[in-house]
Amino acid sequence: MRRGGDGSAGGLRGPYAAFWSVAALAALFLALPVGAVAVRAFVGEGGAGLGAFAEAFRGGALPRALLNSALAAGLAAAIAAPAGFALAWAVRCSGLPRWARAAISGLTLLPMLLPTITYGFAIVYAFGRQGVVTSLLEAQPFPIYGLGGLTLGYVIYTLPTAFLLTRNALDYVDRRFGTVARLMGDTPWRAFVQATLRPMAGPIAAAFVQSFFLAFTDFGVPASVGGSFKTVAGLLYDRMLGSLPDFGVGSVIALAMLLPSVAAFFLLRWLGRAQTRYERPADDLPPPRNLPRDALAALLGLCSCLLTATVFCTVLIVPFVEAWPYATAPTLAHVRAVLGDPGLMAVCRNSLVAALGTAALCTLTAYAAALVTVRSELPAWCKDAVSAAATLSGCVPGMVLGLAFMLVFSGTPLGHSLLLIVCCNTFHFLNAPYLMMKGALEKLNARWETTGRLMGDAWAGTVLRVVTPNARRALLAVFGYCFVNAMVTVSAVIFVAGARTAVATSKIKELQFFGRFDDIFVLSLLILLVNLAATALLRLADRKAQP
Amino acid sequence: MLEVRNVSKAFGGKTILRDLSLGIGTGEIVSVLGPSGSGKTTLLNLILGLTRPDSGRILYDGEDLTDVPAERRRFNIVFQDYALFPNLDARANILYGLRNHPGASSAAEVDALVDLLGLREHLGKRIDQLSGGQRQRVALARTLVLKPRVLLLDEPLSALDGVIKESIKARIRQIAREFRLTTLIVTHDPEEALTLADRVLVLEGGGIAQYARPAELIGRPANGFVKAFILRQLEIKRENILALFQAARA
Amino acid sequence: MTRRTLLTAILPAALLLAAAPTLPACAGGDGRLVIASNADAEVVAALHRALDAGGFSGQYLIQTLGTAELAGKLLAEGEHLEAAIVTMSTYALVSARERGATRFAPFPAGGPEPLAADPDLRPITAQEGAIILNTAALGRLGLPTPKSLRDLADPVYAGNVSVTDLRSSSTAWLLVQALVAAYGEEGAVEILAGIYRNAGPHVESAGSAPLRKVRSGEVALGFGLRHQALADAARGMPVAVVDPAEGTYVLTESVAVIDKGAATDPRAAAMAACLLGARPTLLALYPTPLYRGERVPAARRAPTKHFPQPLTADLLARHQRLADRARELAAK
Repeated sequence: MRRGGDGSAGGLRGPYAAFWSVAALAALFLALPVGAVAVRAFVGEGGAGLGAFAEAFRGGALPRALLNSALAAGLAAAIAAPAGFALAWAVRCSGLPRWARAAISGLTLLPMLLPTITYGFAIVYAFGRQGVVTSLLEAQPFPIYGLGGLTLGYVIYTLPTAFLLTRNALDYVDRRFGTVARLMGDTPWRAFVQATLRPMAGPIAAAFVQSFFLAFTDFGVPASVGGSFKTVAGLLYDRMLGSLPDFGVGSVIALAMLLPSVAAFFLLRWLGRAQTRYERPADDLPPPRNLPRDALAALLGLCSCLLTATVFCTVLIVPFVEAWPYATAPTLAHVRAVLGDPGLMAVCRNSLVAALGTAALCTLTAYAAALVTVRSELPAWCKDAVSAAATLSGCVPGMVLGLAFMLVFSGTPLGHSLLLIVCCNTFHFLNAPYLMMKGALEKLNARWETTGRLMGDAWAGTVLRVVTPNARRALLAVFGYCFVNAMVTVSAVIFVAGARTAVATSKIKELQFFGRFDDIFVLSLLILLVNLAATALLRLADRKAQP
Repeated sequence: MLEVRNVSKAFGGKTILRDLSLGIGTGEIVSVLGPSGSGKTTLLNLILGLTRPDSGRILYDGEDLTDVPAERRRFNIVFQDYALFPNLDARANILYGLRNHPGASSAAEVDALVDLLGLREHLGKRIDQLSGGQRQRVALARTLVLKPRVLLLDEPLSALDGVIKESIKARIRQIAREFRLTTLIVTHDPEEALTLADRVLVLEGGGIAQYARPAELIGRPANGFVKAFILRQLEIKRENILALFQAARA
Repeated sequence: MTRRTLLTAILPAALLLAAAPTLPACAGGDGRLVIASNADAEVVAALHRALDAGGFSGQYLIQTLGTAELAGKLLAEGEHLEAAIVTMSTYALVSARERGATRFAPFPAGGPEPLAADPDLRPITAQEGAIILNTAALGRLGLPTPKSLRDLADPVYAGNVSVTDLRSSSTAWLLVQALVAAYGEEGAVEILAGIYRNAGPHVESAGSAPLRKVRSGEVALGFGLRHQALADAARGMPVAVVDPAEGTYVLTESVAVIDKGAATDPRAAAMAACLLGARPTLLALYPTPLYRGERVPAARRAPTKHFPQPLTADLLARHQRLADRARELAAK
């Protein structure tokens, strides 16, 4: 028998199995590829050295791109974080009717269900010189290429995340603070500041950092509206692939891109720790009647819905007319063409399979990782290793991971397989599902494993029979998160997908090259429909899982 | 007979239990009393087998259990929060351990236990549909179907309302007698400790301040700590209650 | 200990099994040979027809990729490339071979000799650059019709020009070659800076993007692919082509078979040779003779010129740095 340090040796077999599974997967699909990129930065065709660094920094393009990215991402985050909070407030703290709050939530979250690369095209088709909105207004509302379009695209991209983060945090702010403040004679504004804004400062800051990170590493938006405003993601793409690919320089840019991401990540962790914790979730008492407040909430919601609606109406209009903007007669020809094209339908099937696979593997991995860190008595180094892997996955931009996969896995039996796409997506997304799982598992009774063990269960037995059924809502939420993200992700997958394993988003990138925008919008619509269906199904399942 | 012999335990350089020895007779109810940080929980975990002592032995009927893992000691515990499984109904919670130990109780024995604890009409309910006292009894039943040799109860009354407290106390005593169950109850409430147990173990700073029958503890407190920590509290309580009754009579 | 090791091995397997539905879709499953190409839809259609006519129907799969992705994949994956046959810019193929990233297997192709010979490659199309206009937009804005590339740098066109970035698009090289050949490197930087200044946000990464913007009226003129603009004009769109006074430069695209050693698909050489059967169709789309004996109607033919130096990766790198300088100059 194995003698553990603390008499619980017998109970560690299961946790070790979970740990080594996660560790093995993370070593193969995260540490190895990222390490390969780092090596490329120092070792080129001409041997080891700093040549790639000198080349990357020549002419100041890289520092300028870093600054550009930081500026656009910062601007977008500065808009998305407070806007997200305002919408969260409208949904959670106002007396708006249920349907109105559901509509605001739904439309604000809608962009999450579409690939970012589509937002860019949607912006061009909405606000471009020949855009839907431009032709309605008979004037272009603002310049869409460069900083303006980029910021708008990033705001649309990050607003749902900022909204979700602040909305979830609002649920844990004790409403009684507001009551107390009002009873002590505070004005409504002061009461709002004291009881809502103050405790939400941390989550709003976290939403800012998270939005910044998302925008900074995004590739889809600048690919369509970046114009001459070069971002790091764009630079990485040009140098790594471009007309004269240079992996050494590309790797240096990838590393440069990693740095702000790491900084953002740790800032986020620090903010999470500094945040006030409220033990009990807020009660569900309806807020007192207040007409001006509700009018303001309605106005905010209307603005958000209008923004989403104007940008995304193009996705709904363009594929259904002959040739925007010249022939605007309605037609189903494009839809029929896509549905009738066996190549494109195969791509949709691949997307679906890859998304389901990703959802399964990523959920399992995140669950195993979270079990190791919060529900096992493994030594600290195991828990640290697991959270380090999750952290790294949160810091590596998708493009970098995808490139790394291409460098490491082509030529292996895994090369170009859907399984490789699934593994790549899993470690691209892992961080958020891990944190979601960890949060959920921490809330469950800490004594279950001990109780089960005293009744003769092995650790895995209690996990299967007790912990898992009680974590099923979180598991469903994580599954949905991974599925939707796998359906819309483009950054990593364009490098991993093969001829037979192209997915809808990699196809969109390819169609962009050939300028086939009607097909792009039809595919985007299909992705949207699949995601809506998946979300609805998971909602139903969640309702069933509710006690 | 459960024996703890010269057990010491430290965590990260901080001594929690220092050379502690005690014996508990079979069927005896012992309550463990002490302020937070006095080592109550650690003692519980050591006896259960969740923690290993740095030195010293733990024996049951002469058998050395120090290196026997928790799941094979046939000791069991009801935690303060009961740790019931909310995905299962009351019945499934009670029967949970029988999956791994099919022979531990017969169907008739389980039936009798259910009736003894007054759970018959609650068997089909979900955990969140049960009251605090009902949950407590389900947790007790879940443990008792496995016929543990030693039953540990961690703060069994702290989450309960006043009236239920007294009935649960009676029930615990009844069970200990009926099953001749060695029972160890951890509590921070002197009244609870003294009214429930055959003997009371008072812990202070990792050592035993006094280990005696309740009457002896009241009559002859071993030191100033026992006096200050236990007697003083009980006296204040008694005065308050007496004052109440006198006021009512006047 | 052994039991623990066993469990440790079983769990990852279980995790991977969860993704089992994806396994049948692994590469190589259906026996079809992959042809990777960055060519446009019309070219791909012509290639399909040639292969089907040659009896290869159902035995191949054409994967279309952007130029950048294909070049990157070729360099990164070399002989591990999923595709057995590649069609793309000749210079990119040659450059990958020079850098040792991949080797090509020569394939026997009958028929006429190519005008520019390479033992491993056979050209299939020629991309030509030209000034492209949206006649309607030009008229609405009251702008003059440019005659030369130098004219595109004229400030009157500010905000109405779209060109491509040499870092990502080889179409831009046609522009840079013409400028360098006509005005020398320093002159080219100056004019290019003027063009970039006029283009502002409309410096694109895909070769077909300027035409798309011209076609939609997003900009009035640009530098794009000549044959695409001619096709638009033929379809009745308000698009016209101006062959610039500096001359029309050409980049050819070729077919190559990846040498995978023993793993080379035995059908690859025959299929590659069969692809050349598309030449008559392709010559009608891209009116530039590439093989001895090919003829093009004079009306469609451009005043073609060839850059004095061979088109190598080193030359492209040199021109990229030159273009970078022009962009920095334009940004000031």
